[in-house]
Amino acid sequence: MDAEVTNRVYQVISALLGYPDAELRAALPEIRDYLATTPCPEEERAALLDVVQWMEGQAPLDLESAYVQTFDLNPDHDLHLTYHLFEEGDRERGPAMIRLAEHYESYGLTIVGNELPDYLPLILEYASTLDDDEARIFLGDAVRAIETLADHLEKAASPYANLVRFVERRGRLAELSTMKECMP
Amino acid sequence: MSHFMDRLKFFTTKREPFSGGHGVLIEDDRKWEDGYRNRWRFDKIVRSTHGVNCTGSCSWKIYVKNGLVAFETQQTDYPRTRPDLPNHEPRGCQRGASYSWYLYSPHRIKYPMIRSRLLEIYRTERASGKDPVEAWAAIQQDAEKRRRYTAVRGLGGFVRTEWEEVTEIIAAANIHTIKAHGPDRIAGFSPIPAMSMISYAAGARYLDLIGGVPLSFYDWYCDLPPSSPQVWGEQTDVPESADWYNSTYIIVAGTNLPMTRTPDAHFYSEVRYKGTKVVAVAPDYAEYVKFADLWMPARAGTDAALFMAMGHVVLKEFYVDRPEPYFLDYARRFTDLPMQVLLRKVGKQTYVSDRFLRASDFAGELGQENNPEWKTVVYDSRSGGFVCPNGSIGFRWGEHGKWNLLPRDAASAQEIEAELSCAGHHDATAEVLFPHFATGEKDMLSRLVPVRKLKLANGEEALVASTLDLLIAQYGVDRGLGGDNVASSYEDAEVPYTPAWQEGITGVPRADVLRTAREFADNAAKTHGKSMVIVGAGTNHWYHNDMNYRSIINLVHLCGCVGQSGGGWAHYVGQEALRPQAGWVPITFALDWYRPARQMAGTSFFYLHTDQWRYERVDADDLLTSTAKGKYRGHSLVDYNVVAERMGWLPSAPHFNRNPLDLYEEAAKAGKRSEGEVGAYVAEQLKSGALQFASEDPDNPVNWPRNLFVWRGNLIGTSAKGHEYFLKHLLGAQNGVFGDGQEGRASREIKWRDKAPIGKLDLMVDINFRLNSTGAYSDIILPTATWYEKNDLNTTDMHPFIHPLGEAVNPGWESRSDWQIFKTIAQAFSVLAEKHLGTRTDLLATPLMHDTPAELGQATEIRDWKRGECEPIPGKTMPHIKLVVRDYDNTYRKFTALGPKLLELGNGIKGDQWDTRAEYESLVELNGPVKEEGISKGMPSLGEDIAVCNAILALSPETNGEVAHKAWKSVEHESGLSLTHLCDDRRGDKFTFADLQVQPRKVITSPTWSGIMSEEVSYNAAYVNIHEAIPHRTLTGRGHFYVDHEWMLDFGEGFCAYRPPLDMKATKGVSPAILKEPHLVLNWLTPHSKWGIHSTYNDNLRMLNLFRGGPVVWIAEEDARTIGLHDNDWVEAINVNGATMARAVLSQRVPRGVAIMYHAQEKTINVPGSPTTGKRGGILNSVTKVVVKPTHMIGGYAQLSYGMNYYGPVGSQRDEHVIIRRIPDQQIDWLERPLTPEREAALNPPGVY
Repeated sequence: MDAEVTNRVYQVISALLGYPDAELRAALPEIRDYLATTPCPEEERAALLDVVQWMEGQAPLDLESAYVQTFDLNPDHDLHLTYHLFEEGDRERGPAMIRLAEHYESYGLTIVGNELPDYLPLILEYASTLDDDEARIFLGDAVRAIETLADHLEKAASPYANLVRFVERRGRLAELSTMKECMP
Repeated sequence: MSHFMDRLKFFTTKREPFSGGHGVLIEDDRKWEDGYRNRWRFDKIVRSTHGVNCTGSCSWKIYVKNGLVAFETQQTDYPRTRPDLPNHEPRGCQRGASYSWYLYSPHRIKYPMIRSRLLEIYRTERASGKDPVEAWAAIQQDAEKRRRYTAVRGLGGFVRTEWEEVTEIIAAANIHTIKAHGPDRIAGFSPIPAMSMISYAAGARYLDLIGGVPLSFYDWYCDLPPSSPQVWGEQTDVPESADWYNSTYIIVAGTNLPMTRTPDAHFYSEVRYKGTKVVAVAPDYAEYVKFADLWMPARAGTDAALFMAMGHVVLKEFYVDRPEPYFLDYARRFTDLPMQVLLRKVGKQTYVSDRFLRASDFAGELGQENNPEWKTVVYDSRSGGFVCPNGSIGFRWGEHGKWNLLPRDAASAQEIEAELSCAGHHDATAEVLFPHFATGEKDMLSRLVPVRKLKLANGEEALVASTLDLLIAQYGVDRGLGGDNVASSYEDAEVPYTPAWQEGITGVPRADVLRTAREFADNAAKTHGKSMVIVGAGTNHWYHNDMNYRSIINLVHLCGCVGQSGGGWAHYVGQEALRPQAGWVPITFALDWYRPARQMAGTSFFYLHTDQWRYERVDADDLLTSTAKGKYRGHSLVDYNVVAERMGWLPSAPHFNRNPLDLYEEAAKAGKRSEGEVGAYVAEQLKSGALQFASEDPDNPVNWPRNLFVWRGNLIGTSAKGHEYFLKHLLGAQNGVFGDGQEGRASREIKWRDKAPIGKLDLMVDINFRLNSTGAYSDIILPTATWYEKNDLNTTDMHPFIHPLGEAVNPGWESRSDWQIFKTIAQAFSVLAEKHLGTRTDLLATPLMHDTPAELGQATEIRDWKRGECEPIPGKTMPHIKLVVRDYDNTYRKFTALGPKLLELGNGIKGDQWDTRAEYESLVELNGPVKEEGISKGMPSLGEDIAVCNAILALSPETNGEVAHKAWKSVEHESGLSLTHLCDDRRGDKFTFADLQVQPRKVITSPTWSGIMSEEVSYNAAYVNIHEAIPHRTLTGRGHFYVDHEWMLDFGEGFCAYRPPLDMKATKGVSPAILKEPHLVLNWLTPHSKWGIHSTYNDNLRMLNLFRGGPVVWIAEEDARTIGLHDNDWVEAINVNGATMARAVLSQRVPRGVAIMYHAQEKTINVPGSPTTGKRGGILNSVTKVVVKPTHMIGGYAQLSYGMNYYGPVGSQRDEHVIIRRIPDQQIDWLERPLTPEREAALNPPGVY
């Protein structure tokens, strides 16, 4: 069975967190249109459109440079979530990533390209293939890492902060609802 | 809970006890165990190790599942050792065990990156219709465009780019540089190749194919002990760590074995259990001290005083009072102690020791027609006359069969007994002056020496003394001749080199020194040499490191320990044993296509091109002795370097103030075509002054290096001694240099330019797997494969095994192995070269190299052509001038195929030569032939990393028994000895890369090395010299106590003497405002750290958290108290070179007077701004500056001849002093602000212009 994008908002966030190369920049109008028909809270939609607008307003190399400065050169903003879950040098990190890859495999999804299984845009693409509850529960498992990342981005006043914060909130809701169910 | 309802009341499950009730069989569900099983169920387990700088070379298992690395554990399958020796396992340490962290770390470089300002300008130029080379040229010709990107080096601003685009830019820059300035303006730096040697080879091969310049590193790091070439003609050869276990008395001085040789340290620990005494020499309570029976806390930098005092005791008790037969026999056969030395009259009745007596000094030349001026002389007590014994360097070149250490008169082949001392038979007693350097003592010490008189060929009467007789005098031992400056009592503190005298300098109690010296020598006498001194950076990183080391080497030589199992000198810092060197060299330096290759001495290069010479505060004249011939008195230190380059002693890069390609064309236009004609043309041009060496005017843009590649290393972040000068002059970046650099005006050889260059480099490329300071200052950063993502080879001198690095997983993200990266660059280069370069003739100026006939340069007197003392003769009184025709568009084809020169000219190493056709042809089969059309068709492919590994393994004697046989045959021919027995039990062994992946293999005995690989003894240096009578590659063919070159004598280092640390004068000139406040003046020491290998692992938070998580400097509690400094306070270390920030660690283990900053914490990790520079607070090298030593520049003189990483000036840094002051927390500024035009403009510290 081929996986389909059922949860479009994750696909949008995933795309916006990718490297803003010529391809992504050229796709910004498409993302705009796509977002218009994507079911999501208005607050989120507005904020996502803000990010698109910010990107459109940047000179291409400035945008790329800001991305590199934010994500490639600052460990606090690493988009690989297990980095934020494990202490540096923790020998459980590799096995955790392997388990994650096995999880995708169990859903019939194989990673192509050169990214790790804990790369947030990749995780969001996976989430986009799940129904809403499943996606939230899945993200709920990583919510602490996502929160850390969002905090750091917010502290640095990064335009990307909101994107990650939305993901965190979605995961957080799942966590809360699970907790509620478990309550006596 | 009681589980009352869960329990069965009426049934039980079957339980079968066994082993007397200690075990029981149950049939419960065991599915839960699968969790643990799966945890250890992997797709594959791959053997790899850790490359670059770590000398451990430990075998590791890398666990892989789903294409991801889980973790690594230690391999435990080393080949066995012999029964009485502990085995090697487990090898590995906390650093290696955490390496897999790097693969997925945020510090990983994942994509090619480029400075966005540069990319923008480049794309604009390209869009305007220029081709890549034209575009690059346009940027370089516009000062503002160039400044736009060079001035923000170190200030961020990167974007990702694609391989295709970035390699096009690099290729364009290289081609433009070759065209406009010359290929010798493209340099490359990569450290110690032994660990990941294919990766090193990649960059060097590319550079040498295009005519670029690989820079040396071992000397630059000051890890090279120049004493080793001075004494043995050997770069560095040391015992494997297992040989420590064979020792019965060990002194460790300045090398922190448990900390920096972690996987080997167990031998140091185990040997104590068989009763070996261990003595530690260290200024601080270092980790290795706690293993010791005795700690001798010598003051930092005073090791020579301590070891000279031990030598004094040994000479008195074991040579003079009760001569020890084993020592005397050893000294006679294997050292220069019986060699005769001429005395030179300097006063009415006073002499100094001059050069060695030569066969050419005798009428009839003692029967020597070939090279008589290169053959030294002994007095034969059997025949009662002077004879010329076998083995000196004159026998090495131009004849065969007598280059050996058999005790024979070369003329008659009669057996001789070389006389060690003429005392008792002497013709006279001469008053000889010995240079002395101890602070506050006389600079010349007169002592009486027994001498013989003889008539020289020129009719003059001369006095000669044996080296031993002079040495006994130099050590201040009274042998009954009386006179001044000799002691008959150890308690005589007035006489230099007595145990009492050293106490005042080192602070070590005289009784400890006396007892240790006696025990060391007594042990060596009883065991025939099983006393060992283990040394390292703490002893060698000083300006006068050769004196520190020679004092130790003298001790082990006097005790007959060198070349004996469990004995000798064991140097462990930065040392490399690239074991399959003979196969590696031709591939690395592209000698399979072009000979010779360009190479450059790193220290000279950086001293000149980072303009540290402009700030030289040390006056060379202050280092000369009062009896020096002093031909170059008045010259500054850099001037000696210029002189050494023009005499062909040191290499030069760039060579001349002309593009070498254009220079050839000028010669061709003048009708000169052959190498000889062009050489004569160049000599003529130099003589007339129409042509100049680039070093005569290094600040002229014509002579700048333009492109620099750094791969496998962190040049800027850790290895840049004089870091701030690199930033200011080479890179044009923000810097902390406080000095005004007017000192350089004193130069007599260099044209002074008022305006110092800012930003010499057009392009710096960093290739690494992790982002460090070097990347931060580069223009382009390329992502390379980690040590678990590529196939490569590792060797070390710590053990005799050769290891693979294995590609456990594909290179992450966009990274590629270094070999593939340079292959890609070569491809881009070839495409553009077709239009812009085509085929050009390159003109190389290469030095008089060690292990070639050119090492017989000027035998008895220095003549300088520039001063009109002789003619400039290429290869004799000036560099060789060589021509190489480069078809630049074939660079890629040449990079990826093993070239035909190996077929035509054979292979060899260290002067040995052999035919290697069979190995070449076997590689056509093993690697497969190149299939594509063109010049390389049918040749063995070097396209893939494994193919390169296999080529090296096939071509090297260490890994191919048949080649070992051929190599030893070559030495047999030279020496007249029988030697193939050393390797023939393994003649059939041939390793391939696949063999190494199965198990590490022990290499085969080869003449590349001076030790043997055997089942009976561990590897130990100089073993074949002592046991097989193969000469050392020195003037006398023996180990040297005396080095007789004119410059050595001028600088007072003919014999070893104690020289105190150098006054670097770096704390003078620090702002009075700083000096007004409480501060300390401390000696700046930079030993290797516990939690990293240089800067590697120092960015791993787990490692950082094991200590204080950021930069620290260790200071004595008592020192701290005097300025009210508390533990963990921020401090600034400052001097005229710059400033660096760190937290203070106050400890009793640190002696007063020193500050210890471990090597290396770099400025990308938790380093705040320095209040004084206003820039990010530096690294350990922000407060250092290199000072070069003229004696290291000597060339064309037997063992004192240039070889890359073999001889040349070293970059010492431990003599430096700093001001330490407290910085209150509220003044700490993390400089986390965006780049503003004001900040961009502030390149220098406030107040510096």
